[in-house]
Amino acid sequence: MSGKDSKGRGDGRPSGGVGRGGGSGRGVVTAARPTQSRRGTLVAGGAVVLVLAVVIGGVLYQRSRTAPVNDGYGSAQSAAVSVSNGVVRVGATDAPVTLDVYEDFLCPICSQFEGLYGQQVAQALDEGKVAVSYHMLDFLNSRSASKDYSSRAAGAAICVASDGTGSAFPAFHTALFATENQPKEGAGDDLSNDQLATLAGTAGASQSAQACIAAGDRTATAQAASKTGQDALQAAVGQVGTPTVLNGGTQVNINDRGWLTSLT
Amino acid sequence: MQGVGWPVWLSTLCRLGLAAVWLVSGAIKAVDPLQTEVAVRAYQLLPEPVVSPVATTLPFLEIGLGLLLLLGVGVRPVAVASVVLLGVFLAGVGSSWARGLSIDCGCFGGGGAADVGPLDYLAEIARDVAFVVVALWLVARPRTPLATGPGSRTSTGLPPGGGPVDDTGGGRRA
Repeated sequence: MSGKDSKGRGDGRPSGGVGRGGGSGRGVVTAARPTQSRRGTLVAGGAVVLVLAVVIGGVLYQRSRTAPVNDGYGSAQSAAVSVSNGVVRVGATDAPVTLDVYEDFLCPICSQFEGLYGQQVAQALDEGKVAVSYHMLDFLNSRSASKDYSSRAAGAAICVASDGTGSAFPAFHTALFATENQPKEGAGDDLSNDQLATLAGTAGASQSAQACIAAGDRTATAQAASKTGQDALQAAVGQVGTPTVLNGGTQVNINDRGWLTSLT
Repeated sequence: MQGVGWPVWLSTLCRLGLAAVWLVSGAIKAVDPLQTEVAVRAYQLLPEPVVSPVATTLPFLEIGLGLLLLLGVGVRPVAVASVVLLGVFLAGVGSSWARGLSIDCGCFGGGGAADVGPLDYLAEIARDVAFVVVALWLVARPRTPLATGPGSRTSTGLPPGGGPVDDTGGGRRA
């Protein structure tokens, strides 16, 4: 393939003279034009360098675009947590911006979203710049092994949030979306209520919250809240998809890496 | 059919066609990195630390192959690389099917869990096999007119003076 330009144009066959597609009759003519082929090599080399630059530049750009924002902050520590009709509100009551975040704990892109922006949101919550109402949906239930994982996980989160400990709900929310904890859609198993309770304990939930999770006490609350949330989402943006972030009923473009800073 | 035979035009069609496949599939993946990472993870083949780097690199690898084919540089090695990459994709799709996973291949965007049946898997495999055939043709016959690389260009159509006077191809260019 890196054969000499002067002969053998028949695709690697040492044809010299009678190749079909190669037009070898004229190939002989090019043999008298070494400068031509050197220029060709230069052009090809330039093209390869250009393509390499595009590929390497693209990968570097993509890495910068997918790196977690505000990495190292962790989850929110000091924001107020309250529950109303199965919707968990985190953040100061007088926060200038209140976002509505719609998520399903089985949704893999929600996991990506939390990994990318979760720590930035956490700091904004702690600093009182925003408050977030978490609408925990369960429309992906059917893709879990237990067929009700999303409802149970949302119920577990409500158990933790109802307990009032400030940092436990944000930490549990982060843990549920962590790649190592989140069950895969269509996988053969997910997390049992006991496993959810253990995970909540690690996140700082109290004994009573863990008991609430193990018993599945808030699963029905979560299902009702999910129905309300899906209706609200459908009304606001015309479809049910997660993650969706609304600011005063208007969808926020979370593909823009600066979406949060532009709101605060 | 004098001077330039049909294989050269088939090669041109294959080269530009495969370039389009790589450029489109790469671009769709590149603009939606979160979805691409989900698609890669859904195969459950790579260890977790490798998922993100692969999802970051793969779209631009595809775009690179597409650009090289479009420019016509090193068409044979690029075609070989295309066969290898398509082989990896085929193995991934085949193994997902064999393991009973129900995932969208994420070949041209999308990806992750989806309701797919045997027909969907067969269609994905048939499509990739068709691309492999195209790439294999280019491995056998990489030379086309209007290519940049010395090892990828036909000598026909270039008169001694140098300018690209193409006597047969004008009306048939893709």
